[in-house]
Amino acid sequence: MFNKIIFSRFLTFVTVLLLAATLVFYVFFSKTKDEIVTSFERTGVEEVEEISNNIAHYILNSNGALNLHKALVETPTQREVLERFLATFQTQKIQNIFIVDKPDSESILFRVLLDGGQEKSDKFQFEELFEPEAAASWEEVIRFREPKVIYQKDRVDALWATLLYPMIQKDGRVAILALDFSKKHYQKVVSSLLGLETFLKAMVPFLLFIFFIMMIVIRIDKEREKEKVKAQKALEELNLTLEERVADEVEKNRQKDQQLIQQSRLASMGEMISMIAHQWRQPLSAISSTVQGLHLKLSLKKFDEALFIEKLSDVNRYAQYLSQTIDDFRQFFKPSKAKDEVSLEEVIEKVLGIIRISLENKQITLIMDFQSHAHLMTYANELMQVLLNLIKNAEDSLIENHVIKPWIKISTSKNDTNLILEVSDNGGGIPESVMARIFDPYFSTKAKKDGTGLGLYMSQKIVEEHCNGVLRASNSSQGAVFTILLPRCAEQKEE
Amino acid sequence: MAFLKHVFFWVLSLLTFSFAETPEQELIVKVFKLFSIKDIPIVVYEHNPIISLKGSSFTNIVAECAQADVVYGSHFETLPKECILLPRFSTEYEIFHNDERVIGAFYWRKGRPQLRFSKERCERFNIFLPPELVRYVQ
Repeated sequence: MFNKIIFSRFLTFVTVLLLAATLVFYVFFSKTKDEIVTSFERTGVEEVEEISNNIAHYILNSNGALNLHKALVETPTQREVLERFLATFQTQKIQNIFIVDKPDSESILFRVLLDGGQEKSDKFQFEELFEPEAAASWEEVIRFREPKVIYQKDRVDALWATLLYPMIQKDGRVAILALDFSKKHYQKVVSSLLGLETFLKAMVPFLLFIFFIMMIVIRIDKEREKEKVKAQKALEELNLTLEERVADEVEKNRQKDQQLIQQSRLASMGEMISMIAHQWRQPLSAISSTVQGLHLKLSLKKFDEALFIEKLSDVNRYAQYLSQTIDDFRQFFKPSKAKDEVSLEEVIEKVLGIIRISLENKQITLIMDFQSHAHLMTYANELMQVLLNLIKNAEDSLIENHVIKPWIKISTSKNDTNLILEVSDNGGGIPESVMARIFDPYFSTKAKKDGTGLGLYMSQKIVEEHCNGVLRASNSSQGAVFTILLPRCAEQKEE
Repeated sequence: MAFLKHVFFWVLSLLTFSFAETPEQELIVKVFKLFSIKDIPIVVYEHNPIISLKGSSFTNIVAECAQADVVYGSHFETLPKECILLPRFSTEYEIFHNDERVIGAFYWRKGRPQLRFSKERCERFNIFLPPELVRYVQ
């Protein structure tokens, strides 16, 4: 099978062959045509030359005078006789036949002696002056005494030619016998040959043009083929390395996720320490004041055993509380290994157990509206982290915006498919310009030292990927509203 | 711009076609432009010539003989009385040969154009023959 390039090359080869053949044929044909035309010319001219020779011989010998002009002046009757004689040679082939001489070598004008013409309006009068076309050729005939053929418009395919035949008179002067003869009888052949020659001549540049076009087409095809091969190679290489690259990218993503999780954990740890500090402040203060009271009693030598036992018992209770707090936090931040059956209200209560004091210290009112009371199977600790994060965000927003009478509302509800947990506040809401980006990693509207930009990103990941739920953000007339939708299982729906 | 191009094209075409001359017309016009009487270009009266100069680039043609210097025609038998004395330019050799008032002629012989002047007649009518035309004098 031919491919495109081989076919183009084959066409070019054919074009070159055609071009060469046309060129050779043109040269051969041109030479042959010239030979044919020359042969025709020669035959035609020889014939007319023979006639001219006979006429000249007859006229020059028809009288004994040395000069034809003188003889014709002296005997006008002979003029008529000779003109009639000339007229006998006028045929379809020989149109005009007349004899001229040149009285004044300085003038361009010749003098007509005899005219064999029959038509009165076109007949030369005796001694009429005449200016020939191509006068130099006529002069040459007189000077060199050799016959000459003049072609109309200097073209070999002209319909008419003029033979100038020198008539050397007895006094040595030269008269010219002019014969206008037709070339019609062979002109048709010559015209056809000339037409064919012109066609061949035109074919050469045309084929040359085609050849160049073919070369350009081949070049373009070659370039395209090169590009195609290059692209194929690149594709093959890409295919070979694709799996590796996919694995690389997956690994990179995993590492990035781990990094994010690590960062999120660090942030959570910071928050945990802050919250432990809050939780511990009151019991530590109580321990401190109890110990100081006991110390004072001892200093004042007022040791009361019963009081000491009671106070030490208090200190022990406070210490137990501190220990419990640590256990609570450890439990809270430990990732759930299995799903637990919990209600949203339980999750909320556990979170508030950690953060309530912090909120109360900041004069933030907590509004509860629990309508759900349904249980669901979920990773409780993860959900608590999400809720804690939403409450902390609301708290930060209320503090940053210096809201008078700040509140955070936590509500639960349910519909046929979902349990709904909503955290809203009156902190002014999320600006519309950043609404689309709040769940992006590293995006934070908080002052840099406070926000990592990972809280909402991780919260959304936990809700959507671990709990199969949806976390949405919107604005109410007073502030931001975060809604968590968690799907209910079949049993829960029946419940 | 396009409008100007149009105007230019039409004016050029009009000028070209207005003064489109046959080779014979061109030659005769050249002759008349070269003729002069006391350095003043000649004014021509046309009398039924075979080759008319009307519509050519030669504009010194008058409708009345009285204003003309030269009569241009083929035959002059029916010439108005007031033109009889004027010099003539013919398109026939026989007229040029036989009429003493014909100063020159343009005619065809055996398919060859011929231009002829008579020096003696030109001098008689005070018509100046420029050097370009002297070679055609017989």
